[in-house]
Amino acid sequence: NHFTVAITQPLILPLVGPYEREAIRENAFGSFRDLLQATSFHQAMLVYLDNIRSFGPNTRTARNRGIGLNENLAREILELHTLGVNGGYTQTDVTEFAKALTGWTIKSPPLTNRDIGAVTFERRLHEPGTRTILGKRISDGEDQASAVLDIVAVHPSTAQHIATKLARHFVADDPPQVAIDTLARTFLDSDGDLTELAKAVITLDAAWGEQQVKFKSPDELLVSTARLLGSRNVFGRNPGTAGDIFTSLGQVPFYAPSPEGWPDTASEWAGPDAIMKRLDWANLVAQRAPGSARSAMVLDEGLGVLASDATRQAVRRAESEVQGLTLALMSPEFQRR
Amino acid sequence: MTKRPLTLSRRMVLAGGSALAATAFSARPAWAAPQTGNKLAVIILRGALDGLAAVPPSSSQLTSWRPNITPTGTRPLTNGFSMHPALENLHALFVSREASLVHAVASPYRGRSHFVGQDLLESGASNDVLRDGWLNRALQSAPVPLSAVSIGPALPLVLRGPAEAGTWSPPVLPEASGDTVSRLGDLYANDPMLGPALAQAVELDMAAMDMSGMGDVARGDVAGVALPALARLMSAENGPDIGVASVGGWDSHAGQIGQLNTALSRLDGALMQMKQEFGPKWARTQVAVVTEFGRTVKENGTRGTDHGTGGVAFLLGGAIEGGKILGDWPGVSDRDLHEGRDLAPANDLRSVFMAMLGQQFGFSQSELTRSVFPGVGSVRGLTL
Repeated sequence: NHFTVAITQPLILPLVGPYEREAIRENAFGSFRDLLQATSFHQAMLVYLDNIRSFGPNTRTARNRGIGLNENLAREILELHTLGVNGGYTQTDVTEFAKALTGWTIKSPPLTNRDIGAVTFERRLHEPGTRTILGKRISDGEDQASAVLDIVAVHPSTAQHIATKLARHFVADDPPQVAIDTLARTFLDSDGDLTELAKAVITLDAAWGEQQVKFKSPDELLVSTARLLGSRNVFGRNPGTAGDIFTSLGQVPFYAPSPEGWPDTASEWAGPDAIMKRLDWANLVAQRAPGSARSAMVLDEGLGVLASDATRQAVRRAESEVQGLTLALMSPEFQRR
Repeated sequence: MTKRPLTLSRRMVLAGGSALAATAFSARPAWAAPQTGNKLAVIILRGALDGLAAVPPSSSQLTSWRPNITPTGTRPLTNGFSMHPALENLHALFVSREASLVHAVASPYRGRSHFVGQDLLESGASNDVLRDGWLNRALQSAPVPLSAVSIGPALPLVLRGPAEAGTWSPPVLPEASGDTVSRLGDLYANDPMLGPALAQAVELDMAAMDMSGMGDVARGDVAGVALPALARLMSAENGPDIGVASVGGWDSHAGQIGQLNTALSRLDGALMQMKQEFGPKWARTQVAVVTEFGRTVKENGTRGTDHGTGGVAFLLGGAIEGGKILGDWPGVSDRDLHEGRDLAPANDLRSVFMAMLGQQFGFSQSELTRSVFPGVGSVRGLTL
């Protein structure tokens, strides 16, 4: 959810699966620098954030066709993927970075079989010249944008930003500063080693509270239920039903509303209507997967000691097995993690 | 939690009710409050609507800076301004004195991030974003008890805070029974977040019962669904005094002509539907249509515009004087631009919000500056 790509145009639809496999999963436990390089230059990102339509103002192509620079990718890399909105970059940095990124696009005809869909650096679309970004002069060339990524990948603001997001996701909506500081320090000390960072998250004291603090997002609710009851019961046999479920719960995969991605706080997921929609979904699941054994699975395998007496009692006293399972899935404990 | 008088919902009635229902919910239903009869709606256009395309000033300089994205077929307003061709209904409302607009308006925010811009617009702060919204603070300090609803599955920042506000969106899956709802209410009795959320959902479901006749709306036309639904909820018996809905699709970095043609005509149709849904209550309604900032005066390299500063806000409703372009106009010649690229923010969005709260619900200037818009300084409400 950090390097968000959403299907805002048809071309992105076939690209999101490969993007997640090739750029994200491939680099999820390597270095942040590699992950940043892979996501920034992937076809999906270049299309999503308009870089394939960004041209250096001083190139012949721009002058002939009356087109020019698009700052979207540069801005979002700095604001959302690395430094963060208060991370110390200026509007000029955004524009300069956008110029450095020009030229990175998807190969256009004539194509050999190997070329189809390939990412390429087209010098004739690239804004020529040295760029000054974040106070550093970066000479022209194919590696110009990549050099900027290397600078921001290990920047202290990036460490703070990533640490904050991880702490918010794994610890609490309002993460404790000590957790953020620990993760930020690990990030910098390890040069952005994501395996070290993952270990740091798991070994945070703050991540192991007695109380469940985080409210499950729709995808977390769906996946945790599917692990217990099987994905067919949760998503239905029919793709149309799955689509309705995602829509109803307010989170359709690959359709995040903006490059900022999906929210990560209870206040954004737990509105009155959202709760009612979850209840309708739980009711549907319960009807497909009836049987008291299923409620027990949620309560015992799923929650164990976390299941409260009130929840166990409500399930026991339900008027039907279907209702019992519905209540188990909607219990305050199962709605949280 | 305190006890609440039984609120019957259709689901509960259909399920034959249950002894549990009487103890399920807490606190007084917000809509049992006495009513002023006035309504205030805020429609947030997320993604930065290009005000200079929606309401172009007559300026050959501007046209020369926008050779590929200047709309044709506009309709005249006043003082040389005109209205985008897709805003046909809105133009008619302007002429019939049921709509006005403020141009070159913005929140105090001078960055160009959508997300921070929206947060600042919704929190009503001066610089740092606050954690609650100005409408929630208005609910807390209102001179008369007020209730509020938002259309959509999650509560937007503008309504977030200690005061309760409801959300509603149309059902998609088959619904759970009333008995199940009430038992879940029992289970949530001690949950400070889930309990109130479920309770409000039940109340809203009741009022939204008559949503069936909403007609055909194009896929992806959020405005076409959300805005009439909001009007319907608000104009119901004891409906909420304050409503919020959001519409996206405004971030026209590329292909602006086509993108705004679609988005503006959907918005225009939806606003007209709102007026119809409000019916006789339209006479006492004020609707503000606002966006986080405007866009660059000059077009960019992809027949669009990038993020800017001064934008446009529309005001409609029977309780608006109408036919006016309010506030100051800074001009669009070279030396008038903000940072050499944007329409200058000559007017403060908070002056619109303050005026609405004052005129519709009797908020005093001191209440507004002290509680609802801290740090607003000497900004005063416009006369709407």
